[in-house]
Amino acid sequence: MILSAPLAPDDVLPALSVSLSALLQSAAPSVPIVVFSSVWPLMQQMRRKDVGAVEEILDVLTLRTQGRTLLMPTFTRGYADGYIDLDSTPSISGALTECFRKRASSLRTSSAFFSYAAHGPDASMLSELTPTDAWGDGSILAWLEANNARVVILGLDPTHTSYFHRCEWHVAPLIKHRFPLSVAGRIRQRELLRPLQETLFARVEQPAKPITNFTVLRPWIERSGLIHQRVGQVNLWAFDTQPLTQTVCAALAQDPLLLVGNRSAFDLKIDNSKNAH
Amino acid sequence: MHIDALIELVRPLVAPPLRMQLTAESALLRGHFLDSFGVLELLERLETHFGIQIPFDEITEADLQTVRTISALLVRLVDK
Repeated sequence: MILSAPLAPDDVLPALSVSLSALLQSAAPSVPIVVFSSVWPLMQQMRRKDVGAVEEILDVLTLRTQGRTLLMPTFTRGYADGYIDLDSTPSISGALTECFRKRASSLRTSSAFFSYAAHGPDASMLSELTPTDAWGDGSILAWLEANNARVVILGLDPTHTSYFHRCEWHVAPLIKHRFPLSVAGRIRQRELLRPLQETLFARVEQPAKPITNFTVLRPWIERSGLIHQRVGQVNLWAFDTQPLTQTVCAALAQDPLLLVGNRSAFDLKIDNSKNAH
Repeated sequence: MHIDALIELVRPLVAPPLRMQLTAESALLRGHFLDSFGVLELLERLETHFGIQIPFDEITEADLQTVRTISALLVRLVDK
C-alpha cells in the first residue's frame, strides 16, 4: 500500500476541510452527520497535544457541516447509585466528543449509557427522545437510519463505530447472545432531574460473555458504499446508514454469530433464563 | 520489556474507573481505556522510556490495540 506523505503541521486543518467537503459532497444538505473519531493521529500530524488543537479540529468539522444536524457519541458508564448527571458527566467516546459535548450549542440526548451530543436543526428534538429500547424504535440509532444519516469516521478503522448495534437490533429474534435488560435510574439533563428507564440489548454471561468484533464487517461496509479520503496519513471514511443497514442485516440474518469473536463458545444452546437479572 | 512492566507504564494514563482492569489484552481504544490525549501521552512516554523515535508513518490503530500489540510494535521498532 502506498501511503501519503505526512503533512506540514499548518497544512493539516486546511487538508481536513477539503477532505470533509469531499466526504460530504454527495449527501443532500438536510442529511444528518454522525461522527465517530480518534483525533490523536490528526494531532500528531499537527504536532500538538493541547485541547486547543481539538477545538480547532472541531471548528473545521462544524463549519463543514453547517446547516446540518451533527451528532457525536458521548457514551457514559451508566448510573452511580442510581443517578447520572448528563450535564456534567464526561464522554468516554474520545477527546473530540467531549469538546463537542461542552459547547454551548450542543444538546445531550437522554441515556445513562448511549447518549449523543447534537447540534443543528434537530438537536432539540433529539435531546427529548426517550426510547424504550436503547437501539429500537424512537432511539437515536433508529433516527439515524430513518434519515439515512452519513456516518463519518475520523482517524479510525471504518468498523470502529457503534452504529452496527442497530443492525443487531433489527435481527434481535435471531440474536441469542443478547437479551433485553431493563435499567432505571434518575438523570439530570439540562438542569432537570427526572426518572429514566431504558432497555439495553445486553450481552449474556452464559455460556460465555460474547466478545463483540465489528472488524469482520469490513467487506459488507465496502459493499454498501464506503467513501475514503485522507488527510496526509490519516484515514477518513464515510457510509450511509440505510444501505449499510440493509447489507449488514442480510449478513446477520444468515449468520447471527457473525459479530461474536468467541463464537465457538456459543455452539452450545444458550439458555437465556440463566441470564435474567 | 516485560509485558507487566509495560502495563504499569500504560496504567496511569487509563481512565480511573478502568485503571485496575487493565490487562495485556484490554482493548485500549475500542474499550475506552485511552482517549486521544492518553494515546499522545503514551507515545511520548514510550519514546522517552525506550530512547526511540516512533515514526508516525509506522504506527496504526492496530499497533495500539492492546498492551500486547504495543509490545510487538516496540520490538519491531527496536529491531530496525
